[in-house]
Amino acid sequence: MLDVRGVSVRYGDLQALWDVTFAVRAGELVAIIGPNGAGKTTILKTILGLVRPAAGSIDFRGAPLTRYPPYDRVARGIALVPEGRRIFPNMSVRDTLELGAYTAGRRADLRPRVERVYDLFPVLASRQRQAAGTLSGGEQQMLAIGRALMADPALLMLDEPSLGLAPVVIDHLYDRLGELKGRGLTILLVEQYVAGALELADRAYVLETGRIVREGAGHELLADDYIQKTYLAL
Amino acid sequence: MAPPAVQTVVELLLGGVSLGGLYGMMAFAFSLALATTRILNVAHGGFLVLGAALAMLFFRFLHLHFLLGTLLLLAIFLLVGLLFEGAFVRPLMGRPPHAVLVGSILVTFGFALALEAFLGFYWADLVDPQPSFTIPFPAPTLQVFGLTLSGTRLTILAIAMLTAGLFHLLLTRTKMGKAARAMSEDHEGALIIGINPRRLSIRIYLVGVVVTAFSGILYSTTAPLEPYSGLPLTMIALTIIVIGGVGSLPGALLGGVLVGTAEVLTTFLAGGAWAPVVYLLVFFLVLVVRPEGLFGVREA
Amino acid sequence: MRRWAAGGLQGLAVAAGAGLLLALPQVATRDIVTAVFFALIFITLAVSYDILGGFLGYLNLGQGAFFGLAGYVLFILIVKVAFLQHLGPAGPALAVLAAVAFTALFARLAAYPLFQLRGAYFAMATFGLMLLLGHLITNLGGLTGGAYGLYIPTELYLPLRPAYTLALLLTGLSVALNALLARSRLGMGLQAIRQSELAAAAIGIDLFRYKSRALVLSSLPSALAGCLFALYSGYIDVQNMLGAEKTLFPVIMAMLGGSGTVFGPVLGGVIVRAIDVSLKNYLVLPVPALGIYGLILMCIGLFMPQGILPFFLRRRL
Ligand SMILES: Nc1ncnc2c1ncn2[C@@H]1O[C@H](COP(=O)(O)OP(=O)(O)OP(=O)(O)O)[C@@H](O)[C@H]1O
Ligand SMILES: [Mg+2]
Repeated sequence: MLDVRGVSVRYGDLQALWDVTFAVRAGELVAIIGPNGAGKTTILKTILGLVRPAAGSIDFRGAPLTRYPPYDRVARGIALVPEGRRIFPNMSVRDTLELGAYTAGRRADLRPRVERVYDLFPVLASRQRQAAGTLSGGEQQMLAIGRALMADPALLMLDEPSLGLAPVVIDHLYDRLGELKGRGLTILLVEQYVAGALELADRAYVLETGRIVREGAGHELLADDYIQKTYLAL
Repeated sequence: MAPPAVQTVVELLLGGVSLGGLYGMMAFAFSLALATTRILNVAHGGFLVLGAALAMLFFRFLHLHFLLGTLLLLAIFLLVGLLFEGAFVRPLMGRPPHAVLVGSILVTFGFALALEAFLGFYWADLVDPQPSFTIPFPAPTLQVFGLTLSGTRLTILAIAMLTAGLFHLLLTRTKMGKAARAMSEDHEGALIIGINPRRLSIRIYLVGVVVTAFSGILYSTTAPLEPYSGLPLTMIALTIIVIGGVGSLPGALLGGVLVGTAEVLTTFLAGGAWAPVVYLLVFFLVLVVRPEGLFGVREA
Repeated sequence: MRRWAAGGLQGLAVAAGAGLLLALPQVATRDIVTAVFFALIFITLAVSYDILGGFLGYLNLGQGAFFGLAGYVLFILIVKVAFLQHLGPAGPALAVLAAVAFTALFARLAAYPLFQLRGAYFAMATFGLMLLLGHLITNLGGLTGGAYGLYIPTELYLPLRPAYTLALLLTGLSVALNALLARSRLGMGLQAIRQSELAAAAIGIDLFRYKSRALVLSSLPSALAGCLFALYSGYIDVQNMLGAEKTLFPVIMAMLGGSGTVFGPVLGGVIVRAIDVSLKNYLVLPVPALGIYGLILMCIGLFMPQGILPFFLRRRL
């Protein structure tokens, strides 16, 4: 479904990604793990078109993406749950969700989509009219995921959804991600919460200082010596 | 008959509030464009002057039929919005932040000056050697509880309130309005959910230029605008959003009424020459006294 | 080695230029000397504008406020404080000192509201400051002559020759100030702030102190230029001291030549003055000059945001 080939990204003099190649197949949950500053966020931003690569190509559902601006990529079925959530603090939960379907066009499709998000995260239903900025961190993360799902994406990308949340809340979120995966949604998950991400992932890549240094099935990497030493502190 | 003192006070208040409503609507157009595109349009006040000048040309010199003239004006303002956005706003939007700042100031300030100079020059050459744009609007006065109220000011107030209501609906009910709010609250967040910044910016400028130019026409029904009134009007819009906050509709209305009332009172008490001194002092005072209250103003 | 040679060459060029300008009154007509005098005044404005515009990256659309304020304070002192007129040349000199000091104080105070703002808001606020001064001066007719302006006695007029020499000296000092600043702690701090206010604050730079010092420094040459201009003219009013071009020219000059370089504003100044003189004297176009400047500003903003000098320097690298 998603083919990233030889992508390099520069921010001025600093090169953040070096010849990054990976793929996500339909129905898979792929994780990318790596330390701070490895370039994980940069990968997701490049896929969405917020950052322009200096080299390489990105294909989505068989067609090259590189020329399209972010809004066209969203319309083609890519949705991002960004790092730090980036919700709109003064906007109500309901409005935020409806905006998530911005590229979807038909108003009639909105209701069932909102209902599906409320089914997944019932707490959001009870907060419909509340300003998004007044939600708790966990609720904000759910809202950010709900907002992305409203676009009815073919590929859902999440950037460190566990960031700054209590373990119980993380567990809850990961259960929901598992549910989405079970429904056949294709997911690209970027995480520093390595244990959780690898457990859930079909396959995973390890990114360090802008390069992919390891890849494999989720459970394989979980058992890998290097991963255990470096990321799981076992 | 009401006592003359009461009559004067009511007149001043009505004058202040109607001028304030007018200021509020033009300031909100400025504010919305600033919040969503992050480009401060120095030429904003020039659109009021342009509106007044064209309306005067159409109605007082060419004697166009009211409806025909209004439709023609609407078409022209839409075209101006489209061209202005396409030529000056769009090319800047992709640049890095500092370049956007420098570029937008140079371009819109340059446009404001060119507009001022050309409008004054050619108007003096072709129409009237003393360029001054005014469209007297003989609305009948209204008698309420023995008070005499200016029909013109009441009309302006009504139009301003109607515009504010429409703006409110735009922001809360339409997809475009919600997208504009999202864009002003979190720029990258808005891009992530697939909002097309260019399409939004065109629409904002179409609406903005029309509202601004028509508020210029309204202004010119009570007082003349000169070619060089544009930059001071931009300063007034800026003062209002410094008081009320960038992108806030209630803030713009409140700030508008405050500045409008201050202007009317100053003119009554000290003469029209002191009115600009007062709003400029308010501007700097607000900056010194409550910098923290200026939601969003510190960013650019 | 090559850098040395280039530096030497540049020094030589500057020395040769300065020598030529010093000798100018001996060889050139009065008209030419007058034109160069005005050019020097505006170049000084542009160079001092660039302390904020170039080093700090803050657009000051009110540089002319310092110019106009100093001119007015100077004339008010000379006209209203009678004994200054009986001190001979020391009188105006004292008044100039007081005017410059007053302007610097004004700049320091203006820093409080202005540096609450950044970016485009800052630029507009500086423009508002200029408007405010203009209105105050027009309204306070008893002190400032209002719409009629102020005159000084003819015997206090500054003749062209000394005015020219002083203007040349002032421009030289103003350029030297920027060159020194580029190497000083303050200058480095300003450039750090320009790069990123957050990062600058993180390494312990007191943002407000640096910014307000820059503002005060940039007010000094402009204030002196205003005094020179006023003393040479003998008459001031709001139009000639605080008119739109006093605000416009420094920005256009610095931007056109290359903001943030020592000689960019000088180059831009020469170009703009050449355009201005030809617009007013030789080319009789059916368009207003202000409109042309507006168009120039727009073109710089759209097509050449880094200016002419950096444009070519970067080419060569
Ligand atoms: N807009 C930017 N400008 C300049 N450098 C940037 C920018 N964004 C990221 N970088 C740099 O690129 C590198 C990769 O950043 P990125 O945000 O992709 O890392 P990350 O893996 O997401 O880190 P984290 O886990 O901390 O979120 C970092 O060194 C960062 O400083
Ligand atoms: Mg990241």
